[in-house]
Amino acid sequence: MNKPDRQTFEKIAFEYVDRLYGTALKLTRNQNEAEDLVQETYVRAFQHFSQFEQGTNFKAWIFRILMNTFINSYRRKGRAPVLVDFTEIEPVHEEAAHDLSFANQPVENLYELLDEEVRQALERLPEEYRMVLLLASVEGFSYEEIARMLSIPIGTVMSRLFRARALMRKTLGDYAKEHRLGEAEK
Amino acid sequence: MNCQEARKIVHLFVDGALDPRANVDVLAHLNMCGACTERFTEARRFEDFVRDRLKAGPAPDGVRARISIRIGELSAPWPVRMLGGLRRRPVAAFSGMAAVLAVSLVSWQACGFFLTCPYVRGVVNKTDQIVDHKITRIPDDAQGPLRHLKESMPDAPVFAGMVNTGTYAVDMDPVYRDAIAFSYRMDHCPDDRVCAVLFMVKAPGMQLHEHDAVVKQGKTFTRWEYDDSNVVCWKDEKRGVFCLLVCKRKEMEREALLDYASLAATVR
Repeated sequence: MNKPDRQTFEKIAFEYVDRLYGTALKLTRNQNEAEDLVQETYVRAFQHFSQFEQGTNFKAWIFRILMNTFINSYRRKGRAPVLVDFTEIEPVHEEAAHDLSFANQPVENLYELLDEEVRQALERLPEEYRMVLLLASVEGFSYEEIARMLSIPIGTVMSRLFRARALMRKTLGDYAKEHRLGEAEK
Repeated sequence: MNCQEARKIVHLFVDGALDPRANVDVLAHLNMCGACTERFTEARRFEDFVRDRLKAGPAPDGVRARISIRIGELSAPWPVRMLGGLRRRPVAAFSGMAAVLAVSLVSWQACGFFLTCPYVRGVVNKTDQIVDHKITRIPDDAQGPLRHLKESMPDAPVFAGMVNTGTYAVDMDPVYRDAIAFSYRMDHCPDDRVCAVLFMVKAPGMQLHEHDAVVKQGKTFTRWEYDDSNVVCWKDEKRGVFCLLVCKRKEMEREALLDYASLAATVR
């Protein structure tokens, strides 16, 4: 295998350092681990750069490596092997219809919440939901790209994303409510 | 499209995941329905809000420089790389070298170390198509064909693994996370015992992560029986062919894998 060209790699890959670090930090919730995760991602990407197909989406490719590195090395150390749970493939539309009664209801003061509070709400999400929400809502990847990155069916991406948003809205709604109560007491 | 139908797909609309025709239908409905427009607007606003609040700031100073140094080390000739490893983590580097030496000595007895082990590298080289593989012990809670296999040979050490004929490296696909957790080499399989290897033939366009689905569905495709080994394959038109190779003797594994090579040719 030819040795990858360092200059070409850095030129293409370094554009994503901030984004990869931002995602890594939200996944690991620890600055040192996030830095290590990003560095390991770049090392792996460089080692496998010859397998990247020119003209395809580099961002999706390197994010996939980031997610794999996170899942394999950083996630809950000492975990048991995970098998795909096919019970997770649910009829997302029915669930959506059922839950929409509250999921898209406007919440007073919600949009006045700060970055820190939204980040806290994100951190309270189960890891599987957090990963999907970051990839879809923040990084703008398609369902298909996320399914490939996380090796889960598209239906699972959709149902996790839906639940992640519903949980975020619920948590943020609670924060907004606390703010309102706090204001009322003053 | 009515309100109920529109509200079922609000998230797909916000994510831009609807096909163009459904998109037009939604827009037509929103044009004449104020209540749904409000819901869709709220969903979009929430999405924009979350994205805005969670967007990444700059990485700390020095992250780029550290990555660049590390990549520079990787591009350097191997003596320089070794020195780099020694400088960064001297204890780990020495422990690593000691471990490699120890494993080499043990493996030499078992199969002649990595480069000449006939049951892994040798076979891989023979097909010229396999780019990587993992061998793993079948977990106790395995389902489907793996479970049947394990139950049918309760006293045998049974291993499952994947041989990847695709273009992805093993450590770049989380489908291998189980294999990594269980990582086991075929050459640990004693000569006089039954071993099994699950391997996979990748069809054009298939996604590697889908292999679980096929194995769990257990669609029997065909079966070869040898004196000392069996191969059972499942075929899925969209996903490819998956084979379970059961070797009773090590010598037979090579022959079975040669059949696998011809099978691989049929799906390419």
